Amino acid sequence: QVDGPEQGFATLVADRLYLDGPHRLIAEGNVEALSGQTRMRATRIIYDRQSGALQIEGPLTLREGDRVLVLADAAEMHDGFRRGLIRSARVILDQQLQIAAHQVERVDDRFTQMNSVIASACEICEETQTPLWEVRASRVVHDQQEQQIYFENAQFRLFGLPVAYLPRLRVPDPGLDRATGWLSPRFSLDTGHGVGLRAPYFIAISHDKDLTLTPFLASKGSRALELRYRQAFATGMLELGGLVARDSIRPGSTRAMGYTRGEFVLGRGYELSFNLIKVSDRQLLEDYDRSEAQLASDITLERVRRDERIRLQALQFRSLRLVDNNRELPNQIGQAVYERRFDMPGLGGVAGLRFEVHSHSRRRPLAADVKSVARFSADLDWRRDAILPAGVVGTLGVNLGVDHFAISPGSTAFAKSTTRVVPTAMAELRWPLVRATSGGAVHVVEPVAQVIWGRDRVDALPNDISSMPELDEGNLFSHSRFAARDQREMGLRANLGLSWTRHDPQGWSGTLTLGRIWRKTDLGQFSPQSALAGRRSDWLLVSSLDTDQGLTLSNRALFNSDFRLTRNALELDWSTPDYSISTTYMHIRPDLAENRPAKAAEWSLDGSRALDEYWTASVNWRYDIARNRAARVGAGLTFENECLRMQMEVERRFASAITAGDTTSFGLSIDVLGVGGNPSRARRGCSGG
Amino acid sequence: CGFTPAYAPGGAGTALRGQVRAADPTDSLGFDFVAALEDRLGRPASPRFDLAYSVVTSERGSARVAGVGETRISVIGTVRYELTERATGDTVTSGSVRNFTNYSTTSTQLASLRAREDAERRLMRILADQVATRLIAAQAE
Amino acid sequence: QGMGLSFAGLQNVRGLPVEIKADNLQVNNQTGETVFTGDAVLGQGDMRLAAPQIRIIYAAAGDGSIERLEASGGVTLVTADEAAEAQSAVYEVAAGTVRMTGSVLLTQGRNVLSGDSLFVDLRTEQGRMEGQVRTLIQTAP
Repeated sequence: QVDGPEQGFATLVADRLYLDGPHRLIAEGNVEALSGQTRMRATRIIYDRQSGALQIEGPLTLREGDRVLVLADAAEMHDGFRRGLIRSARVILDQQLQIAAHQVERVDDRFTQMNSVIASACEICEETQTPLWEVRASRVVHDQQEQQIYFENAQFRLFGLPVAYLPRLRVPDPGLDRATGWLSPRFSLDTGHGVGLRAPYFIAISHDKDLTLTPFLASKGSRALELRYRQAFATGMLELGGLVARDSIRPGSTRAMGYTRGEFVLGRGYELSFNLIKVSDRQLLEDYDRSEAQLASDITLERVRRDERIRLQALQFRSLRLVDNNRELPNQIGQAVYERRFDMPGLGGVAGLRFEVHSHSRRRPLAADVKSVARFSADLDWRRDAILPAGVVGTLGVNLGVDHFAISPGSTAFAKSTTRVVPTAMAELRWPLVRATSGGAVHVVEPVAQVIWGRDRVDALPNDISSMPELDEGNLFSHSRFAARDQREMGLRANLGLSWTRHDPQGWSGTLTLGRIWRKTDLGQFSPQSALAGRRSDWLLVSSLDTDQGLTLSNRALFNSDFRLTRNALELDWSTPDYSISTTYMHIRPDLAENRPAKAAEWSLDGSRALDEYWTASVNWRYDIARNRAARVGAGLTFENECLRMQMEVERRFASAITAGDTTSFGLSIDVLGVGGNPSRARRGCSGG
Repeated sequence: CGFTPAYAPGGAGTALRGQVRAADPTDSLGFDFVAALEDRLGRPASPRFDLAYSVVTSERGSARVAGVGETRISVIGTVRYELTERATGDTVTSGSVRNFTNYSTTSTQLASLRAREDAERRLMRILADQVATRLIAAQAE
Repeated sequence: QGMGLSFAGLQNVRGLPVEIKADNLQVNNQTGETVFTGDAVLGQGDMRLAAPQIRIIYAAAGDGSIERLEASGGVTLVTADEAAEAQSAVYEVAAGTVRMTGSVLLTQGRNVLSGDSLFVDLRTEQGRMEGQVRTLIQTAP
C-alpha cells in the first residue's frame, strides 16, 4: 500500500511521456498515477498543464485504500481524483458489493454519485449471468464518510424477478458493521402462531449503546414486540430486555417478560454478575422459543485466584414446570463460600480450608418439608503423598467436616439446631505402570486402591440439595459423593479402580476404566435404585476412544452384579471437513428419590453433510426408546454463497402425555450478504475468468 | 511384560512430579482443574515445565419429559493443553482431551444447580487425570 | 509555468562561443575529431556540460564549427532553466537535437522527470521521454 504525494500532486509513471503542444503532456503504456490513497492504472493519460485536468483512457482501474475499487472504460479527473466523471464503471466496495453504473461522478472526497445502476454482492462472471439478488436504481449516492449507500427508485430483484420497488433505500456499506437499520427478517411457521415474521430493527445509539426492537406478527393473530438494550462499560456489560405480546394462545391477556443481565469487573479481581428475569405466565418463554424451562435469577460476586476461590451468591428460582408449585419449592437461596489451598507447614503435603454459609427457604412448604434451613459448614482437609518402593504412590489424607444446621420450624423429624462433626481418614495406593511400544504408542496401566474410614452414625437432616448423587470416575475416589455439604458420606469403605490408557499422537488413543465401591455396612444413605447403594456399589465401566480422523467415542456404564444396566451414557462425535455426526444414547432407571418416576432411554442423532460448495443438509432426531416411539424429528437445508444465505428448518415434535397433538414448526431465514453487518466470506471468484 | 513403574527412579512420572506448573486459573472451572492436576502431579516446588491449558464446556440435554423439560444433561468438556520447558520455552508435548459427565434435573432447581456444579467439578477431575496420564505417556516416549 | 519537455536554456545559448577545459586532449588529424578526457567541462554562455569524456566532431566544411558532441561516462548538463543527468548524451549542434540515454533525470523548477531515454528537438520544442518514465504532476490549478 504505497501512498502517493499529498493533495494537489500526483506521481505519474508510464512507459512513454511526451509533450503534445505547449500544455498537453501525454503518458502512454502501463500508466499509473498515485495521489494520496488513490492509485489509478490506465493505458493512456493526457494531462492538461493549465487546468490540472487528467483525461484517462481505459480500461482503467481506480483503487482507493483497500475498500473501493473501480473498473471503467474512460474517465476525466480534476483536483487529483477528488472530482471527476467515470464512464461505464464497475465499483466494488470492500471486495463484496459490486455496483455497475453507466456513469460514476466523484463529487468530492466524500460523495460518489452513480446513475443507472445495478448493485449486487453476487459474483457476476459472465455478463449474461443474472445474480441471485440485485438492486437496480436510477441514482445511487455513496457517502464514504458515513459509509452509507442511498438508492433512488430502487428495484430489488431476486433470481432476476422484481420483488420490491422502493423509492428510497439506504443500505450500510459492507465495511460498516454497526449501523442503524433493518436486520434480516425471519419467517416462521408453527402450530401456535401460524405463519410468523420477525423483522428486527437495530438502533446504534452510540459506540457503546444499542437498542434492538423486533416486532413479531403472525397469521393467527399474534402481535409481539421484543426489546433488547445493551450498554458496554469500561469494566463490563449491561443488557436489559423484554417481550410484550398478545396472541391467540392466551387470548384476551397481555403477556410480558422482562430480564436484565450484567457482568462487571470490580477491583482486586472480583467479578460481579447478575441475571434477573420475570415472566407473566409459564408458557410464554416456550411459546416465543426462548427455551428456558426454569427461571433462575441470581446475583453473584466471585473471585478466583490460583489457590483461593470466593463466591457470594443470592438466587431466586421459579419453576415453569406444570407439575411444580413454586410455593412448596426451596426457591430463595443465599450462599457464601471461601476456599483456600496451601502447602501444609511442617507436616508437608497439601491442606485445604473451606467455609460455607448456606440458607434456603420455602414460602409454604408441604408438611414433610422444612420451611427454612440455614447451615454453616467448615472443612479442613489435608493430604500427603510419597513415592514408595517400586514406584507405588502412597497417599494419606484426613478430612474434618463440621456442619451446624439451624432449621425452623423444628419438627419431630428434625431438631431446631444440630451440629454434626464428621472426621474421615483416607489411605490410597496408586501404581501407574508405563510401556512405550516401538510403534510410538504408549500404554499406561494404573491400579488404585483407596480406603476411607468414617464413623457410622448418620444424623437425621433434611436432604433438599444432595438428592441426585452420581457415580463416575470423577468421584470414585473422593471423600463424599454428595453435591453439597448438607449430606456427608459415612462409614468404612474401599474404592478400587483400574484404568488402562493407550496414547498414540499419530494414531488412536483410548482409555478403559473399571471401578467399584465396597462398604463395611450399608448405612442406607443412597436410594435403593442409586448406583451407589448397598454394601457393594454398581460396577463402573468407562471406555473412550479418539482417533486423529476426528472420531471421539465415549461410553460410561453402571451395571449391577448380574449385568443389568442402571445408568448408561454414550456420546459419539465424528466430524470431517464435509460431514459431521454426533449421536448419543442414554439410559437411566426410575428413581423416586430423584423424583424420576419412569425409566428414560433415548437415542439422538444430529448429522450434517455438505452436499456441495453451497448446500448443506442437516438432520436430527430423538427416539424415545423407553416408550418405543420417535420424540422429535427435524431436518434442515442451508444455502450460502458469497451474497445470499438461506436457512430452512422443519421440526416435528410428537405427542407426549401432556401436550395433546403433534406439533410441527418450520423456520426460514434469508440473509442478504455483502452489505453492512452481513459480511460475506465465501468469495469464490470467477473460475477461468 | 514391558511395563515399568512411572514413579520408579528415572521413570516418566518421576520426571514430572512437582515439576509442572499449570497456569493460574481465571474461572471456577480452571480452579478445580488445577487443584485436580496438582493432586496427580504434585504441587510445583521449583517447576521445570509450564502447562498452558484452555477449558471449554458445553451442555446437551436429553430425556425430555413433557411439562418438565430435559431431565438428563450431559456436560461435555474439552481441554487443550501445551507443556513447555521453562528454561528453553520449547514445547515438550501438546494435545487435547475430551470427556463428559451427567446430571439430572428431576429434583428441585436448587438440587439441579448443585448437581450441575458437582458434574462440572467431576468433569474437571476426569480431564485433569487424563491430561496427567497423557503427560506421563508423552514423557515415556 | 508547468512541466515542459523543452530545453529552453540550451536553445537560448545557441551560437555563442564554446569553451572546453579538460585534463588531457587527443586530436585525430584525419577525422578532425578531438577527445577531451578527465573531468571535461564544456561551456557555452551560461550552459555547462560536464562528463569524464567529451568527443567533438567538427563540421566537414573545416570552418571550425562543431557538428556534434558526444559526452559519456555520466553526464551533467546545467542551464539557466533546467538541469539534466544521464549516462551519456549526444548534442547535434547543427541539427539542434539532444538525445540523452541511461537513467535520465530532468528537473525544471519543482518538476522532476526521470526515465531511460530523452529526446528533445530544440527548434520545435518537442520533447519525448521513454522507458520507466516517472514524474510528479500538479493536479490542482
